[in-house]
Amino acid sequence: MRISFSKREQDVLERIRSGDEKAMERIYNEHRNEFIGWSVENHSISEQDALDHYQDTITIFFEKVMNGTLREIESSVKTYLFGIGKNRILQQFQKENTRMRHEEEVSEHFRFLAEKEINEIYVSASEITADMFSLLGEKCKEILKLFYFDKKSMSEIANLMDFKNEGVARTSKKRCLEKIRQQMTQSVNGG
Amino acid sequence: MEDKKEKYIQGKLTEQERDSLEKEFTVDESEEVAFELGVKKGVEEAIIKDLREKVGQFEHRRTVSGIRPWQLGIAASILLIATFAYLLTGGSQDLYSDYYKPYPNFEVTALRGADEEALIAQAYKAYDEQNYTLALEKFEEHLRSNEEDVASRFFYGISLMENEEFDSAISSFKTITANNQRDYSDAAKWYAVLCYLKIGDDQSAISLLDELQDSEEFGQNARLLRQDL
Repeated sequence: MRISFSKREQDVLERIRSGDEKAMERIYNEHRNEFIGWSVENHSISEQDALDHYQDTITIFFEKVMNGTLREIESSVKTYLFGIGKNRILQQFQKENTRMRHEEEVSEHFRFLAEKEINEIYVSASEITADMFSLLGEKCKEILKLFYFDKKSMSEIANLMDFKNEGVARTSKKRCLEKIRQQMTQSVNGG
Repeated sequence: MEDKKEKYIQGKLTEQERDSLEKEFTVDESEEVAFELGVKKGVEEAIIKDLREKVGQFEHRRTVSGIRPWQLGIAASILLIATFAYLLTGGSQDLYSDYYKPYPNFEVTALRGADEEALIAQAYKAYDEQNYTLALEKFEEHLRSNEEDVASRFFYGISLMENEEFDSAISSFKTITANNQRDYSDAAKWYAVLCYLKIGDDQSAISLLDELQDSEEFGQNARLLRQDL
């Protein structure tokens, strides 16, 4: 694995990975004007559109840093941001982004999710979770984030969340999933 | 098997490993895994939405802090006009719609399998079906003989809000907060805040928001709304 971020950038990435909002805000401000100027000049879009693109681009950047995907890239933060930005501008990014995410997920589990009934469970669970995630308690949010977003193993989660062992972590995760399942059952029964 | 299934859900298996594991899934396991893959997607979407909102706040802070001294006069005039417009159009009410969402009912599973005809089952069913007028009627009837049922009192309060009976909703939430009921105390405070916004009593809203700053469930929204106010 080759990483060519500078030491300073590595530090910033580490801080973003740990959810440090000040570091995120600093990166946001550091590249904002140059990105917007470059977008307006090179892609003939309005300043407002350029700002929207920038905000989407930096959201993707934060997401990739936080879930660990970005560790393997070989460039500076600026090059990376402008790289994503260029692609986003060339696509109709918002719709395309959602579609691509969905396709990535589906292609990974293509045959499995192809079956109609299985797919319905998948779609319903994703919609309910996205809707109710912010309403879950902090512990549930943390454990679900660590498992599904950060892709930590149950023993790592037990360590990070001070559970006695991975069995306890697993049980806690199941309890959180149960809340989502209850909500899903209600919405199915409620029509 | 559990460990392998977890790796499958997290996308950590090779294509070959994935294929062979899928063949071993029973029907129940397939449904369970589909459910978890859906949860995974939902969690990712919620986190990205949250990040996007954070980014929006960075821009908002820039706009506020980047103002030049010569712009202050203009800004002050705009602020005066905006304040006047806010008072005329009921800005608190806009905040209400930004922040209000009926609380999801987590109580109903305890009722499943119970007597479907029971008043309380009918109340929650109506609530789930967003028939808040009927829910209101059923909760009211149930509470007449079950005054101590905190959950029902809470959902009764939300049903009142949905029926735009904000003063009564506040009274209902106050009963819960006065007794400091563990499960619904913060939620009752939060929805009381929204009722106060709706009736234009920002001062009472602010005072409750201050109490909610450290709430596990509502702290983040309380801090944001406090800033907005």
